[in-house]
Parts: sequence; structure tokens; C-alpha cells
Amino acid sequence: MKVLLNGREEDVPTSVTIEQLLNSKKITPGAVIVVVNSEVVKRELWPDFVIKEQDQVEVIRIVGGG
Amino acid sequence: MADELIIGDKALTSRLFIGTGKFASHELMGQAVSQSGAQVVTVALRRVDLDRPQESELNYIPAGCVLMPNTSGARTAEEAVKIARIARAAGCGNWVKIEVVTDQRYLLPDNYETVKATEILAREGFVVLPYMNPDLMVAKRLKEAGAAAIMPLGAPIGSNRGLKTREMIRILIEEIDLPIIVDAGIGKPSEAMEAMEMGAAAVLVNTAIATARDPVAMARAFSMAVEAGRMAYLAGLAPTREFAEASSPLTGFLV
Amino acid sequence: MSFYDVYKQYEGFDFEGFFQSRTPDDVRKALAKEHLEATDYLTLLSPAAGNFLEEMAQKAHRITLRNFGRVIFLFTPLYLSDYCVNQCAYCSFNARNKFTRTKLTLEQVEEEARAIAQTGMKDILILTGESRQHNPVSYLKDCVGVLKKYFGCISIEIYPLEEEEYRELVASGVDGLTMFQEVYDPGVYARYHNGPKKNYHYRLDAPERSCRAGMRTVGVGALLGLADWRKEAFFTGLHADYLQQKFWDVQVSISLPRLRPSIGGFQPGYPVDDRSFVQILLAHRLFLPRAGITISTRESPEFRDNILPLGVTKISAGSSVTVGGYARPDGRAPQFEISDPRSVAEIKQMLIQKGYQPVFEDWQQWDSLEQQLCNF
Ligand code: SF4
Repeated sequence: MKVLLNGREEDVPTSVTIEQLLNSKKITPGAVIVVVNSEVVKRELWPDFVIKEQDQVEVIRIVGGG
Repeated sequence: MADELIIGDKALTSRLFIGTGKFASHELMGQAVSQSGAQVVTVALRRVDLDRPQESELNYIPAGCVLMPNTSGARTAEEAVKIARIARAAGCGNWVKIEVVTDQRYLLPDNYETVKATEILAREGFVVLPYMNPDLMVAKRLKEAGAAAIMPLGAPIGSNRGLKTREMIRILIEEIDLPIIVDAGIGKPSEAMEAMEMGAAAVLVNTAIATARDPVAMARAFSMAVEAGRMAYLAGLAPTREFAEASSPLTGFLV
Repeated sequence: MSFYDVYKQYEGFDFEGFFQSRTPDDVRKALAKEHLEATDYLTLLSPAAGNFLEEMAQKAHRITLRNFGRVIFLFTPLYLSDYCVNQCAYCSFNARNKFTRTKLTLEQVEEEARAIAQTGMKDILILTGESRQHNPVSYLKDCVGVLKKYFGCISIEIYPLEEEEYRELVASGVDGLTMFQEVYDPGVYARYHNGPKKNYHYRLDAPERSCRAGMRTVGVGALLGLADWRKEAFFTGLHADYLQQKFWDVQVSISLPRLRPSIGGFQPGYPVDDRSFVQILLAHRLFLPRAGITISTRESPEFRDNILPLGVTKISAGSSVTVGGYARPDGRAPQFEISDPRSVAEIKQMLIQKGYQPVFEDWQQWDSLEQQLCNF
């Protein structure tokens, strides 16, 4: 199925969870925030949170800034 | 009595805030912050580069620093609010530097949207430090909206031009009963010192430190300048005579 | 939050100790500052600052020129009614004083208005005693309706009202409020006031209520002579500062009403001499560079002329302090004795001679401006 991941359309397996998605992208979960359809998803929910077709998923991190 | 700067629930002893962007490496950033004794650092939120996941800067920021995420990238109050909420959810604490920039030529802040965002976020319990173009009326509105401090720009962002808005900032310091923190434009320690001598509560420096040949030494230089300026302010600068010539007496009629 | 919360912060503060401990150096430091803190202000009100009046005056003069230029605003008081239920010991309209009370009819108001307008005055301050029975808000509104035709600025100096009532008056054309607390010390206040005026807090919060109701200018003041002037002046300034901070679109001003002899021979317990008066005036100006400072005809011509350059921005001229005194000066009881009997023309001439421009109207209300445009 297709989702919008950080503004880019990506093909991901159906009923993938956030945790699985991050793992597949080799993202260390410690340092990121996940926002699905403008709602922040709490870290505890990642293993069970299933991403649906056409969801907008943002993976965000903290960077240096002024 | 310690000269502390109280903002939100924090009592700060350092009046130098450092922006953590634009450093050549995370290590240099971390050293510059710790060598300067800064207690507040700004950070930003960005999308993870999915093709090249990177190590987080957070690991290099000295423990105990207050993280102040900015809302850079926001062009409207709504976007700034969204970014602030995400930052809080990310565990950055509840401080936020509101930065709404619509003008992409000079990167000047949009004061109107900034007031709107301040109002919403202050109501949600954030410690809000809005970055703004120094305008007295806007500063008053920001205060009413619940800002914890006001951060007027000294010159356009990243311009290293010094205190171009000196007179306006002086008015904010005089009139606004909140810490005034000069943000953006400060290019040299002497300019940071001048802001502090004028009575600014703190200064926020990023580009001038991050892009110096030796950022760590420059961070220390800024820290000393800020301290010297503050000390001069507290000591009460010697009166400069406004008029050299003797004026005729005004109270001669009193016996 | 009310100004009383600010007042309370000084409860238990050792004013005497503070005043006595001020040194010439403290005064010099306060004088050198561009922006004065409350403690600097208090320093300028201390005995030590009494030896720096000339220095304070030079600075006050410069600040005033910078903020206001060489301009003095003029206004005239108009007494509508001397009915009053209160018994303020220092005031001739005091309910205990026996004289036939009077109140202007609308025709008489018009007569007075015409007489005053003829002198060129455009800014009027209407006054009444406190009597909701004789001088109700509806009466004031009717009077304002008449006065609007003659004056660009109408202010009120009457008993304290509810916010809603202020709003009504603003809607009817009032743009300014003068409300002297008389005395900030609650103990002294209780001693001198009876009747509805006994309610210290209701009066203290009245300027604030009027600001919320949309009043454009608000003046505060303490009657000089009722209590220790150093403290009273301090709280007057803090009150003005509080209002200015909170209602930044309101023009705040301070008056310095010095107690004058009135019927009943009231003697002020803390008389304020000229030097002290000047010190208060200067401290106000240095603490509040942009506040208006108003001086009435309670002061003598010579004294008024002398203090003009020290920070004064507004003075009354050609004043009558009796009800109906403009059209028929027939020797009714005045609220107090005035000291400066000069006519508007004389005051105007004096100002010009001293290098000031007399200004008769601070601003023009939008609706009258609109009317003018419509008349084209
Ligand atoms: S000061 Fe005012 S309230 Fe008091 S007696 Fe006089 S008119 Fe009445």
C-alpha cells in the first residue's frame, strides 16, 4: 500500500506498524518523533500502531538550530 | 544576592543563549556550549533524512541545558503551534522559541502571526519566547498574550550586522516588564556587550559562534562579553552629560 | 489584579528607614539613570534628594521638552452640581456644610458652555459632588449631550461608577476621567471620609474600571496635605505607572492638588511647602517621562509660571469653581479657593511670552471629525 512518508510517496507492506517501519528504514527509535496525520504518536504505541493506506507519516528529529 | 535571570520555572545564571545550528560538527557545537557556560540552547525540528539517518545533536548538548526548540520553518501561527506541540511531545520540555517567517528575502519574522501563536501556546502551558521585529505595540501584545520573554532581532537573521535596531530595543527594555533577549544579528562580542550594557536580559548568538574560525574560543569570548556587559549595567554606567553648557537655573524661585 | 496588590507589596516596608538611609550618591545614581525603578523614584522623594532640586529640574525639563515639546494643554473645570452626600473634611461641598445646593439645568449648562467656549477653551472637565439622587449618570449624559456641541474634549471628575456606567458615558461622548484617590494610606482615608466615599477600594479601582470601559485619558492624584507626602506621591506615581502598563492605549496623567482653604477652615495635617511640591513634581516627571502632569488654579500665578518648565503639561485656565460661575459669577460657595484668577486670554499670553504654545484641544473625537468631513 502507498503512504506519504516525510512528504514522499512510499510503498510499504499492508498493516505495517510504526516500529516495523522505523526498523525497515534503520532509524534508531531513540531520537525521533513520529507524527501520523498531524497527530504525534507516543512511543509506547509504536509497536501496535498500524499505518493505513494514504496515511501521512512524518519522522522528525531534533537538529541544531538557532 | 545572585544575579539570576528567571524565565518560566528556571533561574539562569548565564545570560548567553546559544543556537546550535550551523556548526561544523556536533562535537564543536557541544564544546562551544559547554565552554561558554550557556544554560539555554535552541534546537530545531526537521524531517529525518530517510536515506541517510544521522546521529542526533542532542547527545552532544551538555546535560542540564534547557532545550528551547524553535519553530523555524513555520510560516503561519498554526504551523508554529503544530511544531511546538511536536517538540513538547518529543520530550524537549515546554520552552519554545516562536519563529514565524513568511518573508523569505530577509527572513524577517511575521509579528502578527507570532502574536497569534504566542497566545495559543502560552494558554497551553508553554514557556513562550517569541522572536520578533522590535515593535513596542507588538511587544505589549506579546506580553498580554503570555510571553515569558521577548526576543527582538538586532539585525536580520544571520547577517552579523550588530545592533541595527538599537533604539527600538532600548524602548522595549524601558517599557516592557519582561526579559528582553536580543536575538539575531549579533556578530561580535562587543555587540553582545553593548546589548547587555543597555539592559538586555540576555542575548542569543548562533552564527557568530558557529562560523568563527575557532567556535569554542569565540563562545568563551561571547560569554565574557555578556558577563562584562551585565556587570556594567548593574554597576550603573557613569552619567553621560546630555548638554555641555550650563543651563540657567530652573529652581531659583524657591527660597 | 488591582492596584491594591501593588500597594500591598509595600506593606511593612520601612519607608522611614529607607528615606533616612538615602545618601547624595544614591540620588546621583538615580538621576543618572535613563529608566527609573520604583526604588529610584522613592530615592528622588527622599530628604536627600531635596538638595538636588536644581539637578532634578534640569533633567525633568529636558525630558519634558523631548516628550512634549514646548506645548501646554489648557482645560477648564465646569461645576454642574454641588449636591453631595459625603463629608470630606477638606471640601466645602461636604454635606455637613449648610448652604443652598444647586444643580444646573440643561439650559444653564448650555449658558455656561457658551460662556466658556467664547474664551476659546475646547477641553472641559465637568464636576459634581456625589449624589446618585441629584446627579445621576443619566443627568451627566444629558449634560454631555449639550456640551458636545461646544467642546472637543469632555472629561469627568465625579463619584466612582461601575464599569458599565463608564461605558455609557464614553458612548455619550466622555473621553477622560479624573479620579483622585485623595489619600492612598487606607487608615488616613478612613479618617477623612464618610458616606459612600468611605469605600476605599471602590474608589481605588475606579480609574481601572474606566480604562476597561474605553476611557481615553485618565488622571490620578493624591490631595497634598492629608498624609506624608513622600509616600503619597510615591503611590500616586506607582498608580499611574500601573495604569500605563496595563492600559497602554490610555493617556495617563497625574495631578498635584495641594489643599487650599475651604469652608469649615480645614487645616491640612501635613502641609506641603513649595520646595516639597517641586520635589514631587520633579520626581513624577523623572519616573514617568511620558505621563501628563496637570496643575490647577489652586496654585498662585507666580508659582504656576515658575513650575511650568519643570514637567507640567496641562493647566486649567479661567477657572470658576462654583456651580454656574461662568455665566453668572454671583458669589456662590466655591469648592475651594482658587489662587490663579487670570483669564484664559491672560494665561494664553503668559504661555506665549514664556515660549510655550497654548493648545486648546488635545485631540478631536472621531465622530466630530467625521461630522466635519460630512459637512463638506
Ligand atoms: S470632595 Fe467630593 S465627595 Fe467629598 S465632599 Fe467634596 S464634593 Fe463631596
